[in-house]
Amino acid sequence: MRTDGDKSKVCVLFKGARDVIKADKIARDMGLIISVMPVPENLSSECGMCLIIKKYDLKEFHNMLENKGIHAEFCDLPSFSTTKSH
Amino acid sequence: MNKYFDNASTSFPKPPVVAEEISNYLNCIGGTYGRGAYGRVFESTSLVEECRDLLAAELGISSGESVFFTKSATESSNLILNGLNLNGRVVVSNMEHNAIMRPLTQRAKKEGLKIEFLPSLSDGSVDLKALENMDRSAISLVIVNHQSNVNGVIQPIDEIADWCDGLPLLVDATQTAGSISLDWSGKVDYILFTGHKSLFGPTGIGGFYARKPDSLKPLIYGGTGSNSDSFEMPLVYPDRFEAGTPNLVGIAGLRGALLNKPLPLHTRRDFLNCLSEIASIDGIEVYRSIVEEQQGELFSFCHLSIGVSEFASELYRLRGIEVRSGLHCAPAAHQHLGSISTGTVRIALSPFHTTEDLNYLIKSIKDVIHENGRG
Repeated sequence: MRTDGDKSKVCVLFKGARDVIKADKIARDMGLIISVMPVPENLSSECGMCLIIKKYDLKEFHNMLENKGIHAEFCDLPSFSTTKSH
Repeated sequence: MNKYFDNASTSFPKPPVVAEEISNYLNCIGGTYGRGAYGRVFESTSLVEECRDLLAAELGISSGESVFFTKSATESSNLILNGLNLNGRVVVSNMEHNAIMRPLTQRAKKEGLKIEFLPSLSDGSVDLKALENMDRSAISLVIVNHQSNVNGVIQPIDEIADWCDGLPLLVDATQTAGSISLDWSGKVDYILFTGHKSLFGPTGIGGFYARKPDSLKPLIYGGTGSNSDSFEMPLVYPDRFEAGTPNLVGIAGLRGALLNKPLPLHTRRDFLNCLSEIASIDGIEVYRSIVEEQQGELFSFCHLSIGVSEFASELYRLRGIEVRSGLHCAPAAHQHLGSISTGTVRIALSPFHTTEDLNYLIKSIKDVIHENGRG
């Protein structure tokens, strides 16, 4: 899946691989359509995974992650401007 | 017939699923942990995190966030004993293994720490009454082996933790994680475990729990797949304590074991009867817990006139029984029990032993004595 420039999707960054796995399960349990991709090099020096979700689902996913105590950053794929979850 | 009675060294047999999961990882899953983002990496990373959460449940911890993988309980011990800020006095139970005593002694030599023993009863169990009168000043760490690997005595961790009341407490659960409930309601600060004994995983995988991981410095420095633009170790967990590619083969096997814990093929009463019967054999001195409730499923013995190495050798030669003799890397325990000059023959059960296996063990011990003309 090409995500670059897709304004309908958002990149979700986590502090570590464990949180990616936990967030992925949460998203699937919520019935969200998600995908996994390498962390974009211009966003972070992590060499692991991030999640791609639909921008439409951002708020609901953001709230759920906050409830579960998972720290995440949401980035617009084209501009990579960031908003922190908490 | 299961003639293997050395489960305190490493458990055997393993649940068949352990080898199957290892094979499945090697042949089908592959992939590393947390580096890259393709399917194999995701599956391997999920496997590791699921194993971490399963371990947390075994250790009585609410979440896997503070459970870390190492290659062994010994490496975990080294990480904690070198990574903690220690000063003044470190107090330990009399039943500590060299996995504790050696790194602690090295640290004490370098930094002038004073190592002292907790008051103990004759079986090495911490003397709770005497503990009430113990001077608590300048203690920076309390260390207790949950179950002795020599006589099987199980320490009253809840009561010891209550006495600690703020003093950091490290529990070595190498012999018990997986076989005994470790629900200490968050009163223990550090727990060591290994995967290959009572958790029934493969060798080469162990770990530890730290209630406050930020109290520790890393032992191993290296790549983690995170903060890759920095020469410093990341501050996030588990990465801070897990540099290098984790033992995915070991974790796959351990996860399989945790999901398929063996049910005991003998009862507690069978074990206690076996212990009593061996203790009643002429010339045998058994090393065990004073209180039955504090007896884990391992114990040691000596014979009046047959040396421990000869006894172990004869058990194997005549009856195929596999046991370990000597000091079991626990000279502190043998010193306390009075067996330091001879060592002991150790019998360590697993859930896979049947009543028939235990009867065979009793008969074999009697046979060795008889065949050596000492019965």
